[in-house]
Amino acid sequence: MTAADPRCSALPVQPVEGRELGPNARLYVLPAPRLRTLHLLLAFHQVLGQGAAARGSLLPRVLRRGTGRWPDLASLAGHLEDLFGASLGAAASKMGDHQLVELTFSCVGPDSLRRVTAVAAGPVGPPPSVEPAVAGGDGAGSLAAQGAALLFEMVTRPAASEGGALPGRGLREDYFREEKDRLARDIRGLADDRLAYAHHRCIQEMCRGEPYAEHSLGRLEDLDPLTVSDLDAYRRELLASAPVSAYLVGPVDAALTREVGDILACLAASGGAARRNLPPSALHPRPSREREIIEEADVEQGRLVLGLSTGVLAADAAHPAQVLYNGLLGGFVHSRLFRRIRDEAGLAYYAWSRVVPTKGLILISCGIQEKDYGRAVDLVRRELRSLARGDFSAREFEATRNSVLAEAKARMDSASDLVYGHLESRTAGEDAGEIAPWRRLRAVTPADVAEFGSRPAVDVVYLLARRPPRGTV
Amino acid sequence: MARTSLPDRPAPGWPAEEFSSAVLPGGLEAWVWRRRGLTNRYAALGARFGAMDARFEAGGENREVPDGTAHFLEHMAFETGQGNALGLFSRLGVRANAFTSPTATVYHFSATDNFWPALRRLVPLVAVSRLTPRGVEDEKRVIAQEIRMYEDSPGSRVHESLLEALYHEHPVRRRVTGTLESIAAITPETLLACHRAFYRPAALAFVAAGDLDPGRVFDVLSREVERSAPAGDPGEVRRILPPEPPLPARPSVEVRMPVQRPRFLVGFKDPALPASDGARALRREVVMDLVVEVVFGRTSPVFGELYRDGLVDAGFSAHYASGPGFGHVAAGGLTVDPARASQGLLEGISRQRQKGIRGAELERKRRKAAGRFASLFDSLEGLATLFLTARLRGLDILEYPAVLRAVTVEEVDAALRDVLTPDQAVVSAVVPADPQGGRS
Repeated sequence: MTAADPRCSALPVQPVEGRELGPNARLYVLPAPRLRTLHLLLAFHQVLGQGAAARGSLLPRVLRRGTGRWPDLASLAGHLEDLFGASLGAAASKMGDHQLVELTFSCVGPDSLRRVTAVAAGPVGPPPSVEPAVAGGDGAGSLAAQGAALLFEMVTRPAASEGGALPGRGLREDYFREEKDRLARDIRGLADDRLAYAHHRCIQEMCRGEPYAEHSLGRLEDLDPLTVSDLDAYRRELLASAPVSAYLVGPVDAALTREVGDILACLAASGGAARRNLPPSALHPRPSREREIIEEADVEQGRLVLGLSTGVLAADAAHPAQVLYNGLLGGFVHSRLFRRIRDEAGLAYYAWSRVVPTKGLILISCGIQEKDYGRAVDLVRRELRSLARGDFSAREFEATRNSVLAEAKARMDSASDLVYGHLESRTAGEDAGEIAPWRRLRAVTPADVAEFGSRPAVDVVYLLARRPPRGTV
Repeated sequence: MARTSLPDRPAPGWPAEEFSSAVLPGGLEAWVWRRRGLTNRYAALGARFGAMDARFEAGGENREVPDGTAHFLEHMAFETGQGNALGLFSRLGVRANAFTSPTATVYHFSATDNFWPALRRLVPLVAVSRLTPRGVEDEKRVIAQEIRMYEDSPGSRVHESLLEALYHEHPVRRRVTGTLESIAAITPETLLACHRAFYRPAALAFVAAGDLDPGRVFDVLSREVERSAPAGDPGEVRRILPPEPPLPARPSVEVRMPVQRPRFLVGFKDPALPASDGARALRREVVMDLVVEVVFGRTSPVFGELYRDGLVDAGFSAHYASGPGFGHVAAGGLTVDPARASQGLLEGISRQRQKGIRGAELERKRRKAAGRFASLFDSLEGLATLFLTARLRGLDILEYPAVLRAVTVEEVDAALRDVLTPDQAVVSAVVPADPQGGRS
């Protein structure tokens, strides 16, 4: 059975409603009545490089420690418990040449809240701290609005020293010091996660000189000289001039949308005209030659990563063909890499590839014994050559198309997939009024993929292994 | 296609109102969670055969199998006459996979369009049609790479060591993947014997989730079970569990690894042997989850102190795990100093035991737990998997809201005092092999 099921479900489209909060500050509302939880994201965008990553990854960690009203982790956690186990996140992530300094909040939606209030009462009644608006049957709107207010407070009124919580009092010195130490330890410990480290090193080598080469956590040499007043100045700078994206996803209604929008508009108003737009993430240039990087580490399993440059970004006409190509190569368990390297040769437990659409890259990854290095690289090259010749069957194409479309549709069920997918296309210069990635994917023909097949060029072959073998390149 | 409702079908009302159940041919227990509106659909078929089932009695015969056998059988189930079944699902645009835990093996898939053809392919998987000596030898190389991958993971190592120190004999201490040595001893005959014993329809449980018609799911599944499920009754199958002393095997364990950052886990062995009765076992889980929240949660004094002292970070976590003949709490994460972190944790726990648990504190945790449970209903795969693995242990998580509501502060307080004692504690640590590493 290779053809698509004729009783295939309707193709889902996620509407995106944009609201201007101010210059280069937008709220995107993704109404999703099918979901039962509500999700908020507030992100500040900046370009990586020149030491920005370290500041960007430290700030959310300090902000997560407390606010004016909830000045420490325990009181903040208690507040979230009162909001029926709402979750709060603060982190920095890398998206192409940009870094997002992001705060997130999730809580139960209105239907679920009605059910939950009955359970949470327990044998001795509700806790005394419950506010009537929250405990009531239709308080879910208030939950999400309280979430928006909390995110707003985190960036505008962080916990301040000397018990004061006034704007302008600055960040707490002890929180700053503790989180700076913690971030430094995280940066030093990056190599402990072998897979993530191998990917990072391959990208670092491949994109040397580009902002994307930087790790999202930043570099120790940029972190070390930072002071608490530097970080607070940086917070004000973000508030005043960094582009802002906010997202609200889930079973929303007009009242909630307005309420959340009004809260976040206060934030954007502070920046005014100073808020500048960022250049889109830039394409990784074609390599002049292929490089091999072999590094030694005391590991049981060698980690092989190949970085390919494709020259195609998410907004380009050839991107859908790039997604199908990656599907043929290593996106799935029926793909070439899994079949050749794991099923047939038994060299690896995992073998896959993925596209980085914000940079025009494909990464290939597998875990092998170092003695099999040459053989594994040969198998990968053979498949790249074969796809470059357009050498794939109609059956293989159809299977890959099924998988790619299913993956795109399944993302409709996940609030975070929707949000990050939308952010990713915006980072690459595309701002869609709806999310329906299957639309462009469905139109791709085998000829498109065959044409794309000649584009990918191996840029870096990276190996992390215990006893580095002799090079093959 | 005879099918009957399960006798213990829960009463209507949230969350049971979205679930239907049936007993299918061969005694297969099947459930459908009709979650309307979502695009994705999910199905899972599970066997009560996990890494801890190393010794069992089947057909009047005692057997002991090498570590990693259940996991190996899971890998072999995907070998079919038409090639790797993972690829066959994938060609339909369906993501299939499987996992093995200490107590179960679960085969599952997620589909948007080709749900029905995928469902028809799920049952034949557990027929495990191709167990050739050549196939078994080939798979050993792939599993060896999986074992090496976990060997390099400090998080896996600190957890495995903890279990080895908590338990003297109980097979939950065995590694799910086995070791390079143990899997070498696995043969087609070993796998066949386990398959006969544990993969009968009556020993399996099934769940489907998504915007699905339950009647149609049960019909399609019934036909497939009649067609391809393994036949033959091996008679009574009984897990053999060695006697397990109530106290841990060792108070501490340390592994050296070539890493920068040390890790620690403090474990507490539950002295109350888990109830074989599902309702009581669920209640124990709920009670212990609340204990863990009060003692180790972000609001707790001990977490606050360790965090301020830089001894734990935002990744610190704690959980309660239980199954046939075992139960324990584990808490920890990355640290700069495993000795100081575990000492600080134990002292904080001792203060919490003296103080006990207050009513208002518990109500907040109850509120949080209720909200988190409701949030699971947006996670098709997450909730369905949780539901199935609980069913395989005889637990009905649809009863969770009712149990959560009924649990009393006295119960939670008593559990804190019984389980989190110094006698029950084990400290597991991973420390850098290179003495220069890990100091910061």
